[in-house]
Amino acid sequence: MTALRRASLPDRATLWLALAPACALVLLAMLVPLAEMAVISFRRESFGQILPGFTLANYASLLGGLASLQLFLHTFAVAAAVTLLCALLGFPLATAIARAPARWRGLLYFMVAAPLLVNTVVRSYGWLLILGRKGLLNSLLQAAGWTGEPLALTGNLTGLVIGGTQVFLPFMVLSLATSLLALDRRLMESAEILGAGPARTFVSVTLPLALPGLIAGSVLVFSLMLGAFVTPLILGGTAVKYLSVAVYTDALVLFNLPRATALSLLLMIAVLAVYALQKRLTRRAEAALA
Amino acid sequence: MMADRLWRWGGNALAVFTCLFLVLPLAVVVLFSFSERSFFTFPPSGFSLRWYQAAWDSDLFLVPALRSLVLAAVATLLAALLAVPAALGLRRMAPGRLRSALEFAFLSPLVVPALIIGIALLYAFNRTQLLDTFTALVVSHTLIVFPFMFRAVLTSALGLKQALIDAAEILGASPALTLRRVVLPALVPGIVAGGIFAAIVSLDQFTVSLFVTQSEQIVLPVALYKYLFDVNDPVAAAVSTVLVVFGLLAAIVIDRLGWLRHLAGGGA
Repeated sequence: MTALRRASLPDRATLWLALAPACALVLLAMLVPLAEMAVISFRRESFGQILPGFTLANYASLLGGLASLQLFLHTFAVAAAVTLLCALLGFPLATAIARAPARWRGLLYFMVAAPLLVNTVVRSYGWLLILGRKGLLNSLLQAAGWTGEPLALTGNLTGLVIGGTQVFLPFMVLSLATSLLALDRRLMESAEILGAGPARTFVSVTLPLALPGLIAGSVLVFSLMLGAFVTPLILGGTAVKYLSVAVYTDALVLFNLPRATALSLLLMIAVLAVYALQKRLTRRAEAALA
Repeated sequence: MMADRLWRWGGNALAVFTCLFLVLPLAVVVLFSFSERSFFTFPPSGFSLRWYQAAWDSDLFLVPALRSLVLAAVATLLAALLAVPAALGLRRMAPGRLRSALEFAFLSPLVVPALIIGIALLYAFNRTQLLDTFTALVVSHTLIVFPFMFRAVLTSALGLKQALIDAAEILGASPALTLRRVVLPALVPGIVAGGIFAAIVSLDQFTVSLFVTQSEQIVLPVALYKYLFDVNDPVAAAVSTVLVVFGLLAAIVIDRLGWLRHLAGGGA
């Protein structure tokens, strides 16, 4: 009887003791540092020293300046381009995965997911070798006589888009494939029996039904690319106009921590806004399907 | 009919192209690591292992590589020690606002970009004189891998049937014995899955490591990045090839376990 009573009586002290260590980790290692960071973003600095007082100057210069407006525009345009490319390249591959016989499906999954397990520094380095001035692509183009001068594909936003697409493509493909595999194949078959060609079937049956997967994949890729740092740093270099790289330059090269933290907070708000948007979009897509 | 065939062929061709696009940078790195010359040429000429020898002989990579491995193990273990009681605690809470809020808080290091966690920790560790110490690495990596561990353990904990625990207690088992013989064994699959993902995330983590270390305590990805921008010869490719091989081995193991297609839940 005592055992039964013990099982049914929730012991509040033990419960909170069990939760405390994890709460302490998130609080002390993340929330408090983030709060401190928010405080610094309202401070002034001089030669790397943070001065007391309160100022909105960091935000004012970031939100008002033409240079930072360009920075935000570039970052969002690159993230959007990467998302679009991931969707365009990801859809055919995800369709192939969904249609493939089980044996091939495993192999395709392996090819898509395995690059995720290779360090991002290594993958970006690979693109440096391909896109560099004397890299693989320029060697091939010049050998074929298509270009005289080597194309500038790194140290600018082009390399970033190409590298970012490869780095984040697996997320899109896996998300789309999950969505496509869950579809009832008979819907597509009936569309074809009723005379719709593959293109028509895709546009009016497959695409609308795969929309939740497409939205989930796009939001994931877009927000990951917005916050991405490794690929922009390696393929763009510190001169490129990209939010994450600008944060790094401000913090570790120029030692302007107030500006870096203000920029980081704006970036974080953007990323969280994208996640919030996803919740609404998925709900609407699911409502439309139901 | 013509258009239909074109649509199908185009789709398949694009799928093949995308597969090649995904593996191309890895293939190029591996190819370059065996090059005879110190700069990139295509088509490659000659075959040499001297860059591997040079990477082994230089003291730039071995210590950071060992540090990365120890760090991944310590951070994974700590995350497990925190995640198991947290998951069991949440399991006993009634569903509601508080439980959702706690669950969100425990998963939140996954939502905040690593760059921002890095900047915040840079300042926090700088103030507490912990910058460029192993402690700083352990704290930041434990935070980064915790959501992966927690999510996996929580799935196991929520799948644990209350009837089993009740049965053990009715049969006279003490809470400690029930924990050891019933509850923890049920969590093992979650801990193993979470542990593998946590270790991978820790080994891949570059951004936060770059911010919280300077020179004394750098980890392998940071050492590789610094070498790339200081020297940039095929030694970087040789080190990278080792990482490609380890990545593929990890992929094979995870594939055997049947978890490969769940990999997308991660972050970068």
